[in-house]
Amino acid sequence: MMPHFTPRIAREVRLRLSLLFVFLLVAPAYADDVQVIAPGVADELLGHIVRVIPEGKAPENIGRVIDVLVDTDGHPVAAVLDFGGFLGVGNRKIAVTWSSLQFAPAKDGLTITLALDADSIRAAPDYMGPAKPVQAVSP
Amino acid sequence: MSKQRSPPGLPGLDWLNFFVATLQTGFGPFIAVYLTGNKWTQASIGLALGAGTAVVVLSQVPAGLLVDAIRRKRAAVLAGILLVAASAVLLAVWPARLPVMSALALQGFASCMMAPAIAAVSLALVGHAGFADRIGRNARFAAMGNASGALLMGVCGTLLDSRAVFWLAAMLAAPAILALRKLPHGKARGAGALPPPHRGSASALLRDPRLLALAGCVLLFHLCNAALLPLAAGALTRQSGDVANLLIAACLIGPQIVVALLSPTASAYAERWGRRPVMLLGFAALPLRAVVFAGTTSPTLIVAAQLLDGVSGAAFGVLLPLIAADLTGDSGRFNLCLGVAGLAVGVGATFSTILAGRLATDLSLHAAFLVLALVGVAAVVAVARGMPETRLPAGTWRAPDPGAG
Repeated sequence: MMPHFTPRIAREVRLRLSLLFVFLLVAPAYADDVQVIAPGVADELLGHIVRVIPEGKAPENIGRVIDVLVDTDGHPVAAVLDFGGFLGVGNRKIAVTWSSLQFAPAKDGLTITLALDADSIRAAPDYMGPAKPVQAVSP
Repeated sequence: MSKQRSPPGLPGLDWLNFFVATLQTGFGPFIAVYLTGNKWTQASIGLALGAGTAVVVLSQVPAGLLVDAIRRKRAAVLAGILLVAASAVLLAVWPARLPVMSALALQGFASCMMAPAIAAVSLALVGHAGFADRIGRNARFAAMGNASGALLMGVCGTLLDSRAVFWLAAMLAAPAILALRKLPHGKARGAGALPPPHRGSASALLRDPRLLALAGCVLLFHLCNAALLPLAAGALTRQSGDVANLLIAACLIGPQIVVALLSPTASAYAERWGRRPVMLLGFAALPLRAVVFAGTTSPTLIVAAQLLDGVSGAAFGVLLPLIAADLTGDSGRFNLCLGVAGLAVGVGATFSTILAGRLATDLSLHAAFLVLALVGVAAVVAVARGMPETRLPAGTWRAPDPGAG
C-alpha cells in the first residue's frame, strides 16, 4: 500500500536529507592524540601464518595463530596454533610460549617464526582450552 | 522392460555421480581451515559449522518429502548442483558471518536433496529390477569422485590457497550439469519416474517397523563411525612427523578406492544373498577398525585399518538406497525413506564427534576408541537381532504390474 505523501512527510524527508548532506561534508573529528602506525609495522595476529626454519633448510609454514593467551596484566604469555592435517582432517591445536615466537618485519606485514624444531611441535600436548592447565611448549 | 538385468550403459549417470561427489569434497572439515585463514575465531567457526550440521540433520526428512513431491527429479538434482555451486562462490568471495552461514545452510540442504534425487533418477531410468546393479555403479563413481576431489582440492589448497578450493568446487558444477543433460529421457519407468498410481501414506511408511530397525542400525553405525577418522588423523599428526599429511590423505582416499572397487560386488551380493548378510559384513568391519585404532600407534597399521572403512562404506552406500527401494516399492515414498535414514546418519554422526571428543579430552584417545568399538559391536548386534531381510522375492519387479509395495 502506498503511503500518503503529505506535505508534512515531505518536509521531514527534506530535513533528513539535508542533515545527511551536512554530515557527509563535515570531515570526521579525530582525537588529537592518535598514534599513527605505518602499514607493514603492525599486523593482525589472528589467522597469521607461523613458520619454522628447519636446520639448513628453507622456512616452512607450519600453522596459523588462532588465539593469544594473556596474563592478568594483559601481557601475552602464549599463542595457540593450529597446524597439520589434510583438507581439515587431523588438525591439532597446541600452545607455545610467547617467547618462542620471533617477529620480524616483512614487505607485507610481519613474519612470525617459531623457534622450535618441527618434531617438538608435533609431539606437543593438545591445547584443551583455557579451562584446563595450558601446557605451552618452549624452546 | 525385460532387458534390465544387465546394467544399461548410462555414462551420463556415471559422471553425474562422479562430479556431484567431487563438487562436495571441499565442504566439510576444510571449511574450518579456510575460515581460520580468514581470521575467524574458533568459537565463530564452531558456531557456523554447528549450524551447518544442524541444517543437514534437520532438512533430511523435509528434503525427502520435497523430492518425493517433485515430479521432475532431474530438476531437483539440477537445483542441488546450482545451490552447491552458488554456496561455493559465496564462500570464496565473502567469508563473513552471514554469507558463510547462508552458504553452509544452502549446501547442507542441497546435499540432502541431491543424494536421494540422484537415487530416484537412477531408479526411474533402470527400474526396480536393474536398480541394484545401478546403485553399485553409482556408488563406484561417487567414490571415485570423492577420491579425485580430495586429491584435487588437497593439491589446490596446498599449491594455491584455500579460497581457490571453493572456486574449483564451483567450476565442477559445469561438468556435473553436462552429465545431467546427457541422461536419456523416459527409458524405463520405476518408482519415482511417474507420479505413483496411488501414493502410499507417509505415516504408514514411518510406522513400518523395518524402517525403524534400519534407522536404529544406521544411527548406531554412525555413532561409532563418524569420530573414528578425525581421532585417528589427529593421532597421525602427532606421531608421524613430516609424512603425517600424506598419511591422512591416504586415510581419506584409500577407503574411497576400496568403495569404488567393492560397491558393484556389494550390490550384486545384496541381490544374491539378501541385504542382511552384506549389511552384517559391512557393519562388522566397523568395530574391527575401532579396535585396531585402540590397539596400535603404528601409522602403517592405522592407514591399513582405515581401508576397512571402505568395506563398511561400500556396504552402507549400496544398502541404504536398496533397502529404501525395498521398503517403499511403488508408493512414491522412496525419498522420504532415504531422508529418515539420512536423519539417523546425521544424529549418529553428530553425537559421535561429541561423545568421542569428550572421551578423548577427559580420559584418553585409547578410551575413546574402545568406547567407539563397543558402539560398533552394538551396531552389529542390532543388525543381527533387529534388522529383518527386506529383499523382495525374485521376480517381483519383472512383472509389468507390480502389486507389492
